[in-house]
Amino acid sequence: MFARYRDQVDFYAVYIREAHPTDGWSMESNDRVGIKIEQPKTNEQRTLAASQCCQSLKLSMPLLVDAIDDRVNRLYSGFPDRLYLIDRDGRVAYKGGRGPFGYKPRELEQTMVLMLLNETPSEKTAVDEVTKKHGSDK
Amino acid sequence: MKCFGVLFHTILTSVVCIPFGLLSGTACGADDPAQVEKKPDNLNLKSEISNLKSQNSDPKTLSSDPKSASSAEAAMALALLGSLTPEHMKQLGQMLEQDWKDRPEWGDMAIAILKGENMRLGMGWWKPTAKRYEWDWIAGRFDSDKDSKVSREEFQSMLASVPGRVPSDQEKPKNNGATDDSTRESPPKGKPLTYELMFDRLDRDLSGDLSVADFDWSDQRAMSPAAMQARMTEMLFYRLDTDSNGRVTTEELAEFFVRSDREALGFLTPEDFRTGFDDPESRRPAATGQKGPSSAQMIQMFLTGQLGTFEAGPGLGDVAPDFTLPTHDGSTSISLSASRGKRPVVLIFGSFT
Repeated sequence: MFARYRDQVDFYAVYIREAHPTDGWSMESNDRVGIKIEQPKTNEQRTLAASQCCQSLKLSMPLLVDAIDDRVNRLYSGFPDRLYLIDRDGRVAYKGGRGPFGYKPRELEQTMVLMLLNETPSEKTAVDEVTKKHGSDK
Repeated sequence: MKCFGVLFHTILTSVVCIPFGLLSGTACGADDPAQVEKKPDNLNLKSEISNLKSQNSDPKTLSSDPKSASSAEAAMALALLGSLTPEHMKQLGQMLEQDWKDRPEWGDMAIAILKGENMRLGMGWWKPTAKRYEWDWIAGRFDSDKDSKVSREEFQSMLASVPGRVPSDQEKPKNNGATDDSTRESPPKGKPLTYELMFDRLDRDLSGDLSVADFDWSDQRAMSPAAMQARMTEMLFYRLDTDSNGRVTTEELAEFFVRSDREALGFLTPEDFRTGFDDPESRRPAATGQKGPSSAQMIQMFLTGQLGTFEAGPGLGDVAPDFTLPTHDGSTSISLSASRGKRPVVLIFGSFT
């Protein structure tokens, strides 16, 4: 998705608290593929975990690391995973449900496509015109 | 009635001080969840209560609580929770639900846990998505013949009447992005996003029309045959994507080919495909007695922040709070506000585990 839309949209992955660290709610599925991470206690430890993640998943989008006090996680209720789409005016256009159940990238993509169609700055007024006309002749 | 909230909060604030493991084992998937309910009698309440004070400083506690419970209250609440049967918890949950009207999002979660609901979308604070463009908007915008479906033709003709940046399919340029003048460092750049492709991204069940079902992600709706087919194809994708990064590369395809071509014949038969996609894990019988976490374990995980944050985050239409964070390689810092007025932003929260 990043590759598809990166020319029009900024993508940031935010690396937050571990959802399933070895010293917490550990998961067999992580063990199986050799992912073993303790809950980081310093910024450096979290950055290290983020780097491992980035390397192993070959992420190409910018990966931001939340501070160890989890301030951005709290601000956005990001844990354990979550998606947001924010429009050009800085307003939330898509707020995914809390993960894991609410994590639906394809649903976000739908909203993003519609937003790109509807909110391209140069054509915004034109689209509004058409919508108005369309709405009035029903 | 406010007193419920207060009582409940007292219980919560005291319970959060119970050291992890007291309520039996570690969180989800502990060996015998059933044990937990029987255990309270054996708890050494006295020593736990005497520990309460020292553990009140645990950073994981509900620090936002201004009036932290006195130790007497806490002791009472702890004893109360220790002796609560699942029926009592359910009852408490129902009472709170009825009388605690203006509760925060975490209140919904606490109630759902007390009531013993299963973890799924729609339970407690696992709210459905909130998004700007719901089906009504889409239908109003594109469904010109008002048949509750948006065909490809309707979609394209509505858009074609608007001068836009997206190239229409007829005038799809011959330069497949090869000589792109953009100066931004750009890795693999596919074909430009056409209306045709955009429609495909919206048509979730690949039925050829957009309908309300395409935009309903609540998991409640029965899947159409087309949607089931799509789901199965997706599962095959995930089997091919051996490093689980959401991208299948030619290397991974080659790896699959080699792995499946067990007789090294240089081609694959339908049988090879079947064995190649076979997942022995899926046939492994589920571990016996795995009932999922008990209510007591759920409360424990809830209070230690393992199910989510107590904060709810900005809502739909709210201004997204600004932040500045460093990138993982330390090369730069990025502020959300830098994109404002320029480009939309996708934020993806998560961790490796």
